[in-house]
Amino acid sequence: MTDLNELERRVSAARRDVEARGETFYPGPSRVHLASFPPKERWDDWVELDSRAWPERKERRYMLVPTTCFNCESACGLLAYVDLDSMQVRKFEGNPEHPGSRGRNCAKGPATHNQITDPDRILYPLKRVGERGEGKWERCSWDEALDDLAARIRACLQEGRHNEVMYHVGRPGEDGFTERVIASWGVDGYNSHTNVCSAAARAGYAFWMGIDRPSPDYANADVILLISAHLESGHYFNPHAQRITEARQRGARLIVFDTRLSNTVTHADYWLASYPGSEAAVLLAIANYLIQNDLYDREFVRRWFNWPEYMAKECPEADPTFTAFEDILKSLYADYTFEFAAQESGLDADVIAEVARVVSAAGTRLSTHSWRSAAAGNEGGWQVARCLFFLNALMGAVATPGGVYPNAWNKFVPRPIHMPSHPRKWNELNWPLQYPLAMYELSFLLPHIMRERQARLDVYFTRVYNPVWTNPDGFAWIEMLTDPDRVGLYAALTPTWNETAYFADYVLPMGHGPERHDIHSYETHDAQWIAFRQPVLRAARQRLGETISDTRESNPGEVWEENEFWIELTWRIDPDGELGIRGFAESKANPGTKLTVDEYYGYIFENSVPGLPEAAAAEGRTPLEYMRQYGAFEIEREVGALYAEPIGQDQLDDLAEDLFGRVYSRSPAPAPVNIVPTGAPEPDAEGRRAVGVRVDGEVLRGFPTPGGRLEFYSPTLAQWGWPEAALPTYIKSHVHPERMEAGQVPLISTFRLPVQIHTRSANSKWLDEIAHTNPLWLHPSQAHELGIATGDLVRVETQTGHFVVKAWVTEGILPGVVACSHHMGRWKLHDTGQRQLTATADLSNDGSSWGLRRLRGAQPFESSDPDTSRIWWTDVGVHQNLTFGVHPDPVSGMHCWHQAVRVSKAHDGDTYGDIAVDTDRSREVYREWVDRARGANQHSPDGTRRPYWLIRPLKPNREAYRLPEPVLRDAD
Amino acid sequence: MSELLRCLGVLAEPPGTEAKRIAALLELPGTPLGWEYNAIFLEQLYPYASVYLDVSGMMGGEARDRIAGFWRALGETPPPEPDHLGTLLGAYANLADAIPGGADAPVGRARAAWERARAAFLWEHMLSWLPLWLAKLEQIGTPTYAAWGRMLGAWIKSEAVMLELPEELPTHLQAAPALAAPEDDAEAFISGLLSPVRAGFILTTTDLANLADAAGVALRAGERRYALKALLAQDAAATLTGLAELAAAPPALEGVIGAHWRQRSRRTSRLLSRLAAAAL
Repeated sequence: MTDLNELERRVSAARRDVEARGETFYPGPSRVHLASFPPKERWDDWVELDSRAWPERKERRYMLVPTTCFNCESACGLLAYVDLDSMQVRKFEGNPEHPGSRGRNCAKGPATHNQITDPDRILYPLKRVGERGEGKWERCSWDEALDDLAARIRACLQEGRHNEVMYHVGRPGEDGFTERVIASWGVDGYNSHTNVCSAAARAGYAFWMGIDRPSPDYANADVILLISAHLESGHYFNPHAQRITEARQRGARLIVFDTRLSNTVTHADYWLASYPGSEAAVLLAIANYLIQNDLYDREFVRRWFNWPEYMAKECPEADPTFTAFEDILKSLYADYTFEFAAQESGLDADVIAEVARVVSAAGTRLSTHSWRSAAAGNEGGWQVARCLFFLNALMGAVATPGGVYPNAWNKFVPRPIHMPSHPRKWNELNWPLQYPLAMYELSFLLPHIMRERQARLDVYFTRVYNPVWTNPDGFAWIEMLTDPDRVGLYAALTPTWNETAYFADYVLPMGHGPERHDIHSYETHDAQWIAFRQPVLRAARQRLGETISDTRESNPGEVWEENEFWIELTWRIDPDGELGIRGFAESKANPGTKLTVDEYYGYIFENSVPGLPEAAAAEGRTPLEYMRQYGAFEIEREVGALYAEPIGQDQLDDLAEDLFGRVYSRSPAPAPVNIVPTGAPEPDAEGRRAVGVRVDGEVLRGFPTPGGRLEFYSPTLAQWGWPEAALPTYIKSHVHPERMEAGQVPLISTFRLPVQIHTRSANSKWLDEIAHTNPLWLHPSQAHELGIATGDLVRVETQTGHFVVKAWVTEGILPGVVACSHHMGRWKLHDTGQRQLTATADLSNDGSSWGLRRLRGAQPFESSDPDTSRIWWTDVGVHQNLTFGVHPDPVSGMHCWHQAVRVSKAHDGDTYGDIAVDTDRSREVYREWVDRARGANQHSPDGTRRPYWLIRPLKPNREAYRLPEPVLRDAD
Repeated sequence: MSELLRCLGVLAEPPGTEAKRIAALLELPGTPLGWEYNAIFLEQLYPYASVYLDVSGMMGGEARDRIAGFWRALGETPPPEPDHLGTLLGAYANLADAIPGGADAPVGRARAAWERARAAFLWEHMLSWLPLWLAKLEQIGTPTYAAWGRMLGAWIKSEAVMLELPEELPTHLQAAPALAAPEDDAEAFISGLLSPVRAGFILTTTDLANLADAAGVALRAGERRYALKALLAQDAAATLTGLAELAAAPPALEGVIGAHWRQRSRRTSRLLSRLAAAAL
């Protein structure tokens, strides 16, 4: 019999000893009960019964190899089950070692297996043999494509035509590799999709804190306020959703703004179905409640708002004290009453008041998030994010447990082996003068800008991007791509067929998530981690002792990965190093030889990730082996309030300070360990760098804004032509009732179908079976008025044309608003293409009139996968984006997705999926919107194109920022 | 002996560095390993009271609410998983330490109320299922976890002796309906078999594997419900007979609660035997 009393004494004594040493005796509960994962010590040889062999009990042996999912930006951890007999991947499950996703995945993660086994995937490089878009291809070699591309790019660089080379990326899925490749060529040709995605929200955050993304600490929040459907989609859906769920289990309240009854809304304590575009009015009414009732964190506001600068510049007559500022603050927002917000939003004033009380009770545990949704839908949508963060700033819920962190503090970007310098060119095709404050490239305007300027791209790349389908005004893209005067050579880097690739000259097959290398790190919670995407079969074979130096050796067919492709292409552009480019693709260990991906990542893991070499050494592995084995590494947890860190004396040499406490120093900046993008405050007039900000006599790190504090008042906006928008304010949207014509209603097109992901998941049979159509959401009151029932065809007229879609009559949408997800309506013109989720369509064109008519929907077909003969759905939705004109927000540059439309019963002759557009009209829409912008040529305060301090991908050097001479003369 | 109880509670969580140290302190025959924990706690004997006490046989539900309600009655906020074994043991240890006025205070009304609360917690939420669970652990556990289970059993026994426990069966055990014949709803019958509080015994994946071996049928890999349905589909008579034999041999548990489990298990055994005969 065990002597329990003796055990009790022994344990108590041990506890006292351990705790006396300052160590922890009892662990905190891990809370992963029932989350069953193979223990990592058995990942090299894991045995499971083969489900397909039933009733025979057949064991299968697997090697479990980590990688990351590429089906959205979250980069959740996956474990590939590599069959040790066939050396093929049998399935994907979650990687429990991944700090962000913690072993959990959404439907899209396991569906990666569909993508790598898709019978329609592109396995070999293809070259066009007919006219662009004609659908005639022949197989070519990688050498032929590389030599062709390299020769053209080399000629562009030698002839000073740098701006004729452009790389256009949708989902980057990596932290800067390709950006640095393009920079190494000296080209300002990096073009992203961000202005059809998140640029508006980024603007809202960047003007506050100099960092353009939020990192809500959901798990520790007491109140969560979402302007998005973050429990079912959005960045970073799975890691965030699981933490929101944890908070809710703890009793946190959830407030969701959404016009639709989304899955997220169904979990909410408060559903605010506000009229589209009115969100900022509601948020400011909440802010006003906090301000008028002195419910804000007064000390935080006093220390960290740039109110002294605001008072000096905008209220010079007032007493420059905080008390005076508080009085002004009260008057500034006094008109944002609950009643005003109710009038704008259609919500009940009492409900807004109740939500305001809930927010006021959150203290510093208020997690908020806006990413696309309202910010991406409306003109002035960037102010939705700015007004939302205003609530956090008022409550002091900034970088607090349960609050919102700047993303740069919850993200880690390691320094790579080579860092190219800033290009000396400025590309106005991406960064036109009209939009000096645009957060990212005006990518969706490219066809219009090219046409206006009669510009030419000699080499145009797309990667994980499908602008014909994704962007508004897709016919304008077809016009550009099929015009040889506009585009000399177009290479589509893609794992699978898409609507844009049909118009390419080369289609170059690149790997899916488990077939390529990338590093990433995202702000999923208050921590810093990196994850490693890797070609799992290559890693598995290397673990078994094989030497593989080229990912094509392990990928199917001749599928490659971009990183090796870019290294090879760079080498061929500058084979002898004459252009000074080759060095960026060269080995450090063996100068004169080509850099390999093993050396590239091995260098980073060995030299640039704190703690990783030690963790690897503890297991007797190299850092690269460690990452290949586990796929992720956590660098730091609970990073905390970095803005409040004191600056060390060694950084405070020869100080200078401006009127508002911004401190400058001549001490050299320490080499950054984490090169995550942030704002870059300008030096002072004598060249000292901005080192911190003086707060109550102490020099603290502050925020990477010009003034070092949170910019309640943005001097940047005030100086660059937008003084009326310099404070958090409400801008009436382009779909505000005052701006709509009779009979028009707002169309919400920005929402996702939870299991699909833009253009990339069409080759996932499991996902396609679940979601394959996008009906028009219509409230019963409106449907009754129009005489429409569920399933009826309706015609939706936009500014530039119309589309025909099926109606879905539902009370899950605000009356007077219609909605249609953009996640559907894939098409192909020929037999070539992806077949599980694309209709075969006929494209017609007469002058500026374009039409697309569906010939047939999806249908079963014989292939290597027997499931393709079981396809039972025919409907694949309607491609509504073709009928949208471009709507660049005059400040953020974001495409404002909401549309003012008219809905009617389908006309005689209309058939499902019909699209009609007049591109002359779309050009008029473009001009109408561009005319609202305030260009740098008119408003630049310092003769530059853009505030240098703002984040900009692939930042050119300072000289390139100067406005061109003729423009300067015009401005004078 | 609250300190010992906390240590035992730690071992109901996935093993980390601290768990290994504690196992050494307790002189368990080995260091608890991750795979052992997974194989027992995640795949066979889920360490949640609600799985054994809720009519659904699943986590959560009324059974979990009852335990959460106990926390609330004590003026505490219930944790996210109040019925997890580790949480239960930790909570009981805290309760045992919270002697009103301290250990040397005179016995008064507050002390008496505390004694009652402690006894109620032990009776309603631990003794009601844990001995049955520990008996199963003794059968399928690895040496380390089986030894841990015996230590926990010994602690329960010593604690039960110290306290004045009720004589009546906990109400929720009384109220749980026994397993009924399948009639039209086979799904409900299978659910009942997988609900210990209804069937009177715990059916694990190992039991199903043994049963499949004995019956000469294949075990389909999957959750218990799925596997059980597959066994019944292949050979209903043999499967029901095997289940009846399993239910006919309940562990020898003490007291009124032990008698209740035995009685219920044997009742289920008789029902299964009848069904098996009908299926032949």
